[in-house]
Amino acid sequence: MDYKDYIKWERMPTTWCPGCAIGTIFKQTAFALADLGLPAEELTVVSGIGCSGRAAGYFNVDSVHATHGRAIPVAEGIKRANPRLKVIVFSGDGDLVGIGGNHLLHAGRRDIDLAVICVNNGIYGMTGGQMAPTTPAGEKTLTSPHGSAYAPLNIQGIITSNRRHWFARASTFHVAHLQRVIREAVERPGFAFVEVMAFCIENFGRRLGFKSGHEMLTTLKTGYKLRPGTEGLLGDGELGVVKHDS
Amino acid sequence: MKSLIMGNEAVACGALKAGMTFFAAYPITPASEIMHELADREPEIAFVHAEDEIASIHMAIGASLAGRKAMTSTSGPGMSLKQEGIGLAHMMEVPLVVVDVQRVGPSTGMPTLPAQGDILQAAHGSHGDYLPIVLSPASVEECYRYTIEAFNAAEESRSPVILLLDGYLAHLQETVDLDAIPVAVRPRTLAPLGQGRRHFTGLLAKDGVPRTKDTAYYREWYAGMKARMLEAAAHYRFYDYQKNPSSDTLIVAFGITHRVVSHLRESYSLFKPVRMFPVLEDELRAAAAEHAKIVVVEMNDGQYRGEIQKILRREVLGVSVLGGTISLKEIREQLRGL
Amino acid sequence: MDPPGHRGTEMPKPSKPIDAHIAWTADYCKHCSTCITICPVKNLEFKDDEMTSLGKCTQCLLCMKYCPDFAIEVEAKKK
Repeated sequence: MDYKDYIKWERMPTTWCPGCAIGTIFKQTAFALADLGLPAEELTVVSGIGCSGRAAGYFNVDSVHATHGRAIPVAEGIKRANPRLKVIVFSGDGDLVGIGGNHLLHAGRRDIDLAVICVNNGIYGMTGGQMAPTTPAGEKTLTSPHGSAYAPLNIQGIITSNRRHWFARASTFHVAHLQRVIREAVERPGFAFVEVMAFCIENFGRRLGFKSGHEMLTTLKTGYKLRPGTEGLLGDGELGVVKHDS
Repeated sequence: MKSLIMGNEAVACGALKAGMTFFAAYPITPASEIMHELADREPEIAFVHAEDEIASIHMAIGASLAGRKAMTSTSGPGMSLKQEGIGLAHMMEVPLVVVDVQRVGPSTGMPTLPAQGDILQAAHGSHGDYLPIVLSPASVEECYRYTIEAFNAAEESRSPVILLLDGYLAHLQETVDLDAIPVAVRPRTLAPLGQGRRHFTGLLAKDGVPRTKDTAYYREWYAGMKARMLEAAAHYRFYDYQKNPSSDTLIVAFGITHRVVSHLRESYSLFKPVRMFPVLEDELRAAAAEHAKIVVVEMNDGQYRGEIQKILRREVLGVSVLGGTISLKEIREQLRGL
Repeated sequence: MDPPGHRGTEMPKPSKPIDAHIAWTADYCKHCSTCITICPVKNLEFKDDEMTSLGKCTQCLLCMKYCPDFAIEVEAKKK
């Protein structure tokens, strides 16, 4: 299969801002699906609300664009109803770990077979740039004008608190790794969560003083290093996979 | 075979008869027995005890899209939470059944005492304009029968159909022979996920492409949706009208309240709407025309009375039975005082 | 059921070759410049809003992999 088979070309270009990281992640997902050669009859993509939530409609497969935070329960209903379908959840951090946090806890606990791709840009981008649960401490946003007073949510900690778990952290700079972990997540029989460190240039980056999407991209290059192996938790600046299968 | 069963059990049996193969819910009094009844039915059905009310309706939506007839059950507080999913299912045109076993609110209120206070919530609880089909049975046998009809209506209208019970009816035990009840089951028509390239979205969309700034298309879509709902609802005109020629008063009552006021049939005419929404306009208007006084008896402060008054455009009186207990004596006294 | 592939979808919009190996699709490009900045040999440039190649492409495919909008395609090296 060619990655082009997984894209709804009549919907291109996407709604995303120039230089937005979501497009790159969307593309790596299409690469990974082509790599796996999954036919459209065995595939469904579910999104929630937010910029990343628009992704479902761009995949050339049957897809569902649910309400805010509910991508995981909709996906779980689909998977339980038809276990033959590979169900991919593609959504943002505000959607999956903010308003949809409870579903994340429990779908992880039940180890339901879903591949969750979480675009983590640390902000509520679509609504203008409000503080997200993943906003780094001290960062100024529309709803934290003096800097966020709280530490960001530890997504890795939530996922790995389940005995059986599969968690990956990737970044939009490290595209080869990103494509590889998405592929692995789709292949894993069970709950697989990919946290993709990304950025929102329009509603966060400019406020932080970045001049272009590329400038933010290079901060991911310098801020994150790949960690080999799957043993132990990932450190703050590390990308890689953490898993436990028994 | 005749057996003694409870309203909630009859709902579960009706759902199975209708071909439901996916059920997700969260425990809540007085609806939990529906869950209990369905918990041990795997692999015949997929059963999920979900993490919360919102998850359970969204799982039902996902399962319905994936090709299964799906149901979720709850009570008032959970119904409030499910409104988000009900709106989504209306927008995405997903058939499913939502059972609301009503109790006294608002909030946690009087959790173990029955009420009929979710009438307006059932019709207008989610945001924006939509026209749900709402059915309200009044006996254990009707719980079975109208659960099946709720599934049929859901398939036909491609929307979430709401089945309104109350705590009394849900826990009422009656002897019925469910197998002897003739039923017709409508098959699934929506093609399951995995066909290739459809997009189901909560956004206003045409052929899977969002049209979020197109006012003209919204109006066209709304008119189409309204026509579809009314056309489907026309096949589910369930009601019961017992005319008493010597009475100038028509009592409108539904659910358990109808059971109680049916003892007054010697003195009054009785109208029992089973399809609560869309309101049975023609039938109610015809019955009302034959009476000088119309009284709605309900376990809330006039929710359905307001709806009927709106339709009939004439004064409708009300008897409110509040606080979770119901007595014929009290109703009779209130009727005399009108 | 449709055969796999571009079932019922449009094909990608026509792209314009800007080099022996590179094709650019103006209809998809949002001018974010990610490709220009990611290119290790500084081969790409905008000239009057048109993408141009300076003829130094090594076919590393980085611009294609990073482009968020499917606007740039590079032919892979023949093995």
